[in-house]
Amino acid sequence: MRVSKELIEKYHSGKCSPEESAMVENWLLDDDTEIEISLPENLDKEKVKAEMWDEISSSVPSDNPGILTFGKRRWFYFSAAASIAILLTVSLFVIKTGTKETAVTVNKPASPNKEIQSLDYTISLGPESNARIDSESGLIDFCGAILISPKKDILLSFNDVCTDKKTNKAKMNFKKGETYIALNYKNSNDNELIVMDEKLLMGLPPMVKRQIMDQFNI
Amino acid sequence: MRAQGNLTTLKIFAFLGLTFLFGCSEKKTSEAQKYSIYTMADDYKEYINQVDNLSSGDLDPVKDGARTFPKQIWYDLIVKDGFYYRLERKTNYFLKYTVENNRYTAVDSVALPEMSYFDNYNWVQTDTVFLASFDRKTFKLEYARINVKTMKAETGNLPIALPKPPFNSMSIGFSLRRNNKLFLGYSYHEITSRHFKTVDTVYVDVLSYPDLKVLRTIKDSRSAYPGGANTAQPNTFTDEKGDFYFLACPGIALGNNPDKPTSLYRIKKNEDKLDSTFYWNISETIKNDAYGLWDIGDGKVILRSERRDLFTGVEDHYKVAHIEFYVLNLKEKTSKKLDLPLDKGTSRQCVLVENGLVYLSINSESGNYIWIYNPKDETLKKGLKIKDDIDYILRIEKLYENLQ
Repeated sequence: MRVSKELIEKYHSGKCSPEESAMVENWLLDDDTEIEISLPENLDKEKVKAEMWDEISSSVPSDNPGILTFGKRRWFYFSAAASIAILLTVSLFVIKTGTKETAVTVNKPASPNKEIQSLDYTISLGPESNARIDSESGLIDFCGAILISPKKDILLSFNDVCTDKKTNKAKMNFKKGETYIALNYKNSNDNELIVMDEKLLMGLPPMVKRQIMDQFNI
Repeated sequence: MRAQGNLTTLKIFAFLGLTFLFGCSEKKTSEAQKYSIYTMADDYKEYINQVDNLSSGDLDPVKDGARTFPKQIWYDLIVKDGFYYRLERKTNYFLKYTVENNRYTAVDSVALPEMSYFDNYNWVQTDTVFLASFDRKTFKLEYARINVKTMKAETGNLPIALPKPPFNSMSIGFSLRRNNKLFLGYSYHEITSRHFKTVDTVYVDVLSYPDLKVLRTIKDSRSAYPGGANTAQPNTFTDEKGDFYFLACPGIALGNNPDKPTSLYRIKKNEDKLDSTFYWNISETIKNDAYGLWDIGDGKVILRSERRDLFTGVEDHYKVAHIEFYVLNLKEKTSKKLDLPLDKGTSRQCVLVENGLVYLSINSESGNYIWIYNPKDETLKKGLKIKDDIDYILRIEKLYENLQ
């Protein structure tokens, strides 16, 4: 997805076509896919730097150089500086990584959790959790909290192996491209096995939802 | 984790910055609406619609709503005086949003470096919101007071007793400011990847305000989890007389200490203690647990309750239609179930009161509607219809406190 500074300007001035608007909005919405920021080829680092600082200083009152006034317009100055600083950082990054490349690609960082790869899906293990998979039968034995990313539409079965006493089982159809969470939920009376779409985490008690979001960087 | 956070920060700032650079001169073209409806469609996309009328008509959020970002906010969106507020947990920024020309746009922000989450928010002054949350990494109970006009924040730690083993976490269930005092209801939790449990006692500390020193600690072992989490659903209110009521929510969908009953407590206007003359074991009355409480005036409240015969556990609590609504009479301690279709969704901001009428959003198998309850003649009727491709009505609320 290519979203340029010009396109964002266009978006704010209301001149975007619905498709372009959707592109900007999707770019904002998509926090888990790769992004590309297009910048002109053969940027002259020093020239761009000088131009940007000129732009910043023209926004700052001349009688008080270098100090931003915290009045009504402070946000304008702050935003101007922030935008330019960000663009400058990105530009420098592009220049540093080579002149042939015209786009920056930022990949999702590797999860700190241990991962189990299978042909059909990936499992990320939460802290204090373990899992064993049987690729042929689609059975996952686990205890704790795991995140499942299917690579194709698939039916998976789960087996709670936290205790030897009572075994919970669950089954669910998984869709390619979606992410799912499986977890144990226990109190003094009951021991549940929950399998749910990551997008419906709001169904969990707030404390548990928060822990899952922290554990899997959601 | 950090790189992902920085990416989100970069996007927010690029967008925020450019909004101000190029969007400042843009005049507000739409008239201020009265109500905000926050929904999730069946493809999980979330939308805000601002409307003037809840009593009739049709609403198509997917077609006419403003899409929000990031993709999933769920219920974590505060509404006040026409603006929306939320904490971006990956960047620690508290952001202020508006919906203008049907676009959801960030307009201001303040960094809260110590805070990535809050369980409870409370407007301690007209323009000042108080947020509180326990951070397991730093093992501190943090608070922030933010003036949303200037977007300046004051942060610090609350001097409440921190969890001791076996408890490894805690939460603030309610905060109430009364002149120079702050009441905080709180709970301790045991939470691991395998289980979750809330302490079997209701804790309330009375603090001095604004300097936040603990004056006294109140304990009551009849219930657990006072106030729940008001980001998800309100469980407290102050009535016309100034008496404060709070629901303690030990049910499986909030505190998960189901040996304790859902209970209603009162702290009288000029008192710093639980009112010994008022305690209501709600579970005993309705034979179920409940979460969600709204004052409708005249000594009556709406209670949102579960039907344990209709769901298996937390695994399907959020997706099966099993939720009922009761009107509780606080003086008589009587309850009356409203004749509404079963609602869906574990926690919701789904009730608002205006001009003596009560508006309730219901996600039912027979359609999504705003229902209107008239407490005077106890009648119910259907109002605004929300299109069927909406899977969850997450929040309905007034955009401005004093509607004309």
